[in-house]
Amino acid sequence: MNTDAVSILLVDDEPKNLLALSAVLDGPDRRLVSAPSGEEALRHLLHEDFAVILLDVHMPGIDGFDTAELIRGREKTKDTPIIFLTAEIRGQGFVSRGYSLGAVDYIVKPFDPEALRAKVGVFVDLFRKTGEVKRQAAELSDMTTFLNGVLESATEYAITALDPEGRFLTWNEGARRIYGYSAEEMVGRRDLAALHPGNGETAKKVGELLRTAARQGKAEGVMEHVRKGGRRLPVSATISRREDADGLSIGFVMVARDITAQQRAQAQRLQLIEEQAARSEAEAARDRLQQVIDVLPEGIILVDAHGQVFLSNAAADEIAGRDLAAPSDVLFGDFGLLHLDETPYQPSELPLARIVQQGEVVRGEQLLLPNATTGLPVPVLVNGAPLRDQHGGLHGGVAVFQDISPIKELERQKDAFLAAASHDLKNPLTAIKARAQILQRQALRMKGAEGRRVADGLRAIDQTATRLTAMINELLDVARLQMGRPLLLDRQPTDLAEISRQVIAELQPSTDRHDIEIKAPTERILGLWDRARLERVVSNLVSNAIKFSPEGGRITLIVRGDDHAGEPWVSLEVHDEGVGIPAEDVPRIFERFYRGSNVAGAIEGTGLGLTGSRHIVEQHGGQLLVESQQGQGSVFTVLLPSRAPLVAEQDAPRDGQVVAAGAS
Amino acid sequence: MVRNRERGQAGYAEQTAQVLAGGDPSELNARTGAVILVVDDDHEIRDVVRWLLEDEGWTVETASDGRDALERATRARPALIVLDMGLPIMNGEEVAMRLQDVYVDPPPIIVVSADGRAGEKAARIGAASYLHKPFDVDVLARLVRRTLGDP
Repeated sequence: MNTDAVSILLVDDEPKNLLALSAVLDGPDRRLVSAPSGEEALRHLLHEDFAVILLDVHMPGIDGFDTAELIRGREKTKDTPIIFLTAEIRGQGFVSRGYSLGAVDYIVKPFDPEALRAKVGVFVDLFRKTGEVKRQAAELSDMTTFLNGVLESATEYAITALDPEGRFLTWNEGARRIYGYSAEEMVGRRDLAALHPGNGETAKKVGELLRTAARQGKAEGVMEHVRKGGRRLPVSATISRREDADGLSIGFVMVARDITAQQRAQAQRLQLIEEQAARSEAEAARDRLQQVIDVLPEGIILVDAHGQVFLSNAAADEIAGRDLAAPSDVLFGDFGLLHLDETPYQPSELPLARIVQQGEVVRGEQLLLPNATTGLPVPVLVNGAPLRDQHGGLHGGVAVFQDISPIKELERQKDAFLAAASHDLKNPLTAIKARAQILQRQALRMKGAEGRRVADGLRAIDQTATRLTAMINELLDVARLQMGRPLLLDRQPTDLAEISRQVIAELQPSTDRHDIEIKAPTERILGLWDRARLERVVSNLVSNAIKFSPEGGRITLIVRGDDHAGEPWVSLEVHDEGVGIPAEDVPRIFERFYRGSNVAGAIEGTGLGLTGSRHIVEQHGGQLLVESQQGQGSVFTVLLPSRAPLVAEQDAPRDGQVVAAGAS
Repeated sequence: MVRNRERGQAGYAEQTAQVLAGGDPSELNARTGAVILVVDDDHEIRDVVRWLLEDEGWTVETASDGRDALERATRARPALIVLDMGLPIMNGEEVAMRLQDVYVDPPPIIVVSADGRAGEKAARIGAASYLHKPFDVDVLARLVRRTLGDP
């Protein structure tokens, strides 16, 4: 259907009349619909709106009046104009009936084409205009609905209309949400001042905005409003002037938005910027620190209070074969640390854990740090300390470590050298002694004095070799100590009283002027000690006692079991009545090659014995003490920790028998 | 050292007494059958220990390094091994460990060491006994007899 064309319904039972009407009324903006009867006309009306109906009064079947009545009876068509066509006007009743049926006009046939065209033209124009008005009304209604919808759903905005005095005329859902007041409380009852009670500054601002809006149409500003209940809120408000159709001011519209969140976001943004600035400053400081520590040859790592590594230097990363400060789950620098015996560190044993958690200062701890690149453990020496803030609070720890592979290698080489020296010196001695002893056996099998003389000579060779062995052992110990290597103790169940008696038995024959005696309990004084070396200590002390009492006298050895701080200890005292030691020399007598001022040059000796003796005793976990007064003799005391004897009396150890696996 | 020497002398006295009592050294040679493997890289020590133990009546085989010792001890089970710890190619400790793989009940070992830690090493490998170099031949002879159950 052509929407622009206006439809006209022509109803007449005479086809030539219809034709004539069509010829007169046809036009480009019209659509002429012909109906030969009332029934046909009604059918058309069911489907179409017509601007005007030209209706013949006299028709067979339903005549024009009946048809008009039916048309008027339908809601949709009750206002459609009807022009009756008739050959004659028959009386007043006829005319009034037509008008009562809603006829707008009568046209008497034969009609004047110009008059008919003009009359129909009026209705066509009317129909067109009415259609437009209807459409506009519908559109307006849609728009109003839409605007109301917008107004009510714009809940982020308080949108209110105000009269010229500032009283509220409307109050939307957004306003209710932002200010807490309902429309009933505000509309017609209150004005703008209700939104800023007692706030002079806002009142002034609102006044300015209203004046500016009245003058320029629109003004906006940020101010503080007060919500129902008293909470203050920052808002951004726009006030616009409202005008009527003639451009006269009829009030204002205010649109306000709560900008609390916006202001908060702004504040956060500012804070973020400040933090960023502080952070980049801290990073710059860290970079400088990094550059400084990267120059150092020792490895350095720093952990925070949680144990997270936050800084490591180039040397540390190189030793570990990885970036130690790279983000990871590793806490307290636990990069697979091992003790020197290759057992892993427990979490609580980690140097940095002890530093950070207990505030411990770690000094000179040796451990193995696996290199992540080579997979090999690197021996390192670790020193470390807690990091504290100005108030002394612990907030991390620093560990400094160095690769001691070269030192360990040197130690290994020293040990290898000493082992080789020991091996090379003792093998020939072993051969000499063994041969002398076997030959001695065979000489004894010979009969007569000859065999006995040979046997005596061989025994002398054997004894000399034994003395040489003792000297070599001592020399090797001295060499070890001078190289800074600990003695390797061969611990075995050893009786200190027995050793003392043996030493006396060996040394008493070397002197006539001294009387060496022992005071010891009858039971054994047992401990897990290095027998050969303790023999050397006792022998050294007794030899010294002889040597430093040149006038002779009594030398007394006292052996006893003792308790020392709740632990079982044993002591051996060697008393002499000799020259004693000057007070000023006492602290120094254990120094290597040091000899007392009263004996240097007068009594033979190297000064090595006491040093070695003290090392041996200390390596057993014991102490070698001295008390002396010049001219009053000296007392040397060996204190040794003794463990409970490992074997019962009847199972006393015999030569060279392995008695306990734990003897090492 | 002092003690060993004295004990050693006591040992000779025993021997002397035995000889004076009319014991014939050749009687000692009746102990043949049990083979003792003597392992040392020093040929003088191998020689002198062989001399001693053969004089005592035992049959002696020798080896000069750890691998040789392991091969010999694997080929034929010796009754006893006198094992030096400081051996070339394979040290004494490793020889002892490997023998534990070869034999469910490996031959007893007398550890000999020059480094002063024979006791510790013996304990570690479960040896029957040990000696420090230089040792007294009587002590070695006695340990061998005791280990082989021949007083």
